[in-house]
Amino acid sequence: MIHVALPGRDIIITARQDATLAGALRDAGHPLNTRCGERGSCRGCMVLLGPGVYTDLDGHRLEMAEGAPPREERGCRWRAQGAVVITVPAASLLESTGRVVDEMQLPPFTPASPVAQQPLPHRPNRVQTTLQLGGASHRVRVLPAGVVRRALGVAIDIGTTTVATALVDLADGSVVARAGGYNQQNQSGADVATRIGASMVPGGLERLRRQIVEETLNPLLRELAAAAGCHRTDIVALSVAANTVMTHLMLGHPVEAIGRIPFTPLFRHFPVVTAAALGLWAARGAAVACAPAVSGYVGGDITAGVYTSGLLCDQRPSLFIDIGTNGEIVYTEGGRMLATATAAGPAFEGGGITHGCRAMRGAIETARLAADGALQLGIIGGGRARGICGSGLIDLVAVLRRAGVVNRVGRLQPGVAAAMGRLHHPPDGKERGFVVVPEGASADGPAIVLSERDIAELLKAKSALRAGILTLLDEAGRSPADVANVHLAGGFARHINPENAVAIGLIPRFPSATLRFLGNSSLAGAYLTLTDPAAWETMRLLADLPRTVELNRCPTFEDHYIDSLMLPGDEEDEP
Amino acid sequence: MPRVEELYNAVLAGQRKVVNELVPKLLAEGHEPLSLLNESMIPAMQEVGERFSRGEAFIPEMLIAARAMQAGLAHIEPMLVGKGHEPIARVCIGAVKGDLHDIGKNLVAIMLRSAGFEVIDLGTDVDTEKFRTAVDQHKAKAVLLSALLSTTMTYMKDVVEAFRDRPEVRIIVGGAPVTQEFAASIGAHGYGKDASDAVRVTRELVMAG
Repeated sequence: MIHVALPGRDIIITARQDATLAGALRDAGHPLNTRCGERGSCRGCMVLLGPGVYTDLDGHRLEMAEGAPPREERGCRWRAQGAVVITVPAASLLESTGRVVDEMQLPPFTPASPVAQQPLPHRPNRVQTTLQLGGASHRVRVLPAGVVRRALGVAIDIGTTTVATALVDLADGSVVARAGGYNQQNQSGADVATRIGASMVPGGLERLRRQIVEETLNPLLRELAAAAGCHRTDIVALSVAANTVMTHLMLGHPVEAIGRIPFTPLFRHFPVVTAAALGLWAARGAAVACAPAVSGYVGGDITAGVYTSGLLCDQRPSLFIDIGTNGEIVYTEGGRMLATATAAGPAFEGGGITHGCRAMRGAIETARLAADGALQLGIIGGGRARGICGSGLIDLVAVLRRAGVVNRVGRLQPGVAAAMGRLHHPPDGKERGFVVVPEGASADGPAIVLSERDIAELLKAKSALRAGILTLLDEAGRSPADVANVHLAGGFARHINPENAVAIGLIPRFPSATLRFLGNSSLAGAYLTLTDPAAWETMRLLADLPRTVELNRCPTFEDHYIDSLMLPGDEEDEP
Repeated sequence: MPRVEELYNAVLAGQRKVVNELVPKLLAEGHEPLSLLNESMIPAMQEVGERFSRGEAFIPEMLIAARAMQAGLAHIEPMLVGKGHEPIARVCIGAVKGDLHDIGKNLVAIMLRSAGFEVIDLGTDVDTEKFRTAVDQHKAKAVLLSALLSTTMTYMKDVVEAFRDRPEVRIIVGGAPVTQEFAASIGAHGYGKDASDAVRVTRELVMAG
């Protein structure tokens, strides 16, 4: 029996024999952030061990006495022996209530219904529904004549971290319901590289397939149907846009080859299959189309996004940038296209940051310094802060840099922070930080601190993206000044302050570009595949256009990466 | 000759431009290249490594300092050829077959150079044959293997196997997905959890054996 102090409330759970604390919490519906796939190599699932007896995976025994200071350990490494008391900090929970972005922006298009009803030849009392999807016609259901049923489709964006869906009435293209949630593959690791690793162990591929189909998509499909008051068999079309690894895993295809040179996926163009073949909760004959991928690391979500952006119709140098756990960058100039992917890691989604969290209720999402020097924080949902999400992190570092609290390499200037009364300086002298929310003023009680280590994590993430952009421009023979359009896609990008993104060097300054935020362009592309007759064929051609650039093979990447690690500032103190 | 504070501080702060201008200037003023290296640059890099080990410096600063060090070495290394400069040992380093990531590997290489090793950098996507040939050709005492992906780290085992008949060659592994357990399971002699640690482990193994 485990007594668990969650943020704001306590619960009692029972653990399966041999279940780790992380496993027991997951079974109880409170999954921890096991972003390394429970390998014990990250600090996502840290919990505080209180009174009781524990054993770790190597069999070491630990007895915590009543009244002893709790010990911070990884939830994936320890098991409870009998009754124990543990505390789970907010930052360690894989919050199931995060903000999943499903705002879509659509380009102008001429909608047309992909469904048609005709009597079956030789059986005039039966009517068949045919669906145009993925470049072919599919017979998706047969009904008795006179029975009128809706024909619905679902647009699905599968991100590495989050999944967004929209239920679409195929008769008129209207969105009748929306649902979103976390990708349950998070349990198997936070990024595509870890998931590829997880797919290679015996039974791993099937586990990942089940996590996405049965534990993520099917509950969302049921939720959509319940919201719209429709039946399972009314769902006759599913259009999926996802990165190449996610698409393969949903279809049950191996992904090993994407993990090593030359990173070639099994498929770039995916055959249309039936919902029954995949085990998806929809009409058995429903057709499932997946957006074609450019390469192993530039997937159908990017094909869908670039199509949605309309950049193909602009002859000027333009960039499409999808900021997430992986950053994908596409350069277009008329028909000429270059594409690349860069591993930013989970910092933008709160991963690896001491008080980091996803963009959930209680997350600090904005920060600014008022004229009187006071730090003003914007908190999702109002109330007290629980942690810092990606956009808040960017704002904070930009603000601290402007105020001279941090130098160019992200080190705190203790005097400046102390003068503001915000220096966090623990007795051991390590993990110095800036107090964002003082003790007692946060939702959970303890102070919310941005440590120097956290800033270093952000520097690594943002330099990966900025270096990727600059290297791709080098490959195109262009500079940021040449770029006319910058389209930023992805849930995270929707909420960042562009001025601060430039101020911390997340993206270069584009002096003559028009900046546009596309929102979830992957979902938008999946939606257009259902409703825009031109979408599929154009995406099919588009996926074959870009030349894929492998950043690690580019001579300028390392230099750009190290340059981009620094926070922009006065030229004099440039290292 | 004593330490040149200006050079020491420039390497420490990762001021590549300063280092790049200062080293030729100091050489022109008659400073011995070996003295600049041993008295000013190497101690600065060692200080960065120690701060990192103590949790007082982080990877961005290390990378920035390493690049400044590299800029200085580019001026100094050509002048050391044939000057009887004896390294602790010669070692080979490379990212294993299938892996193209080299920023972390380059950092380990520069830290090793700063610790007095001669480093043969074989680059990325290196197969067993290339490791073996290089070790034979340069009479290297140790091989450092890097991998950043769980898909490519499995190849480290192949490299260890390929050196089965050369037990005197020490094999040290590292990289984001690599753990002590993994290193032990494939029979590597050492595991470096970060760049500083890799240097410490390499030094211990090479000295011991």
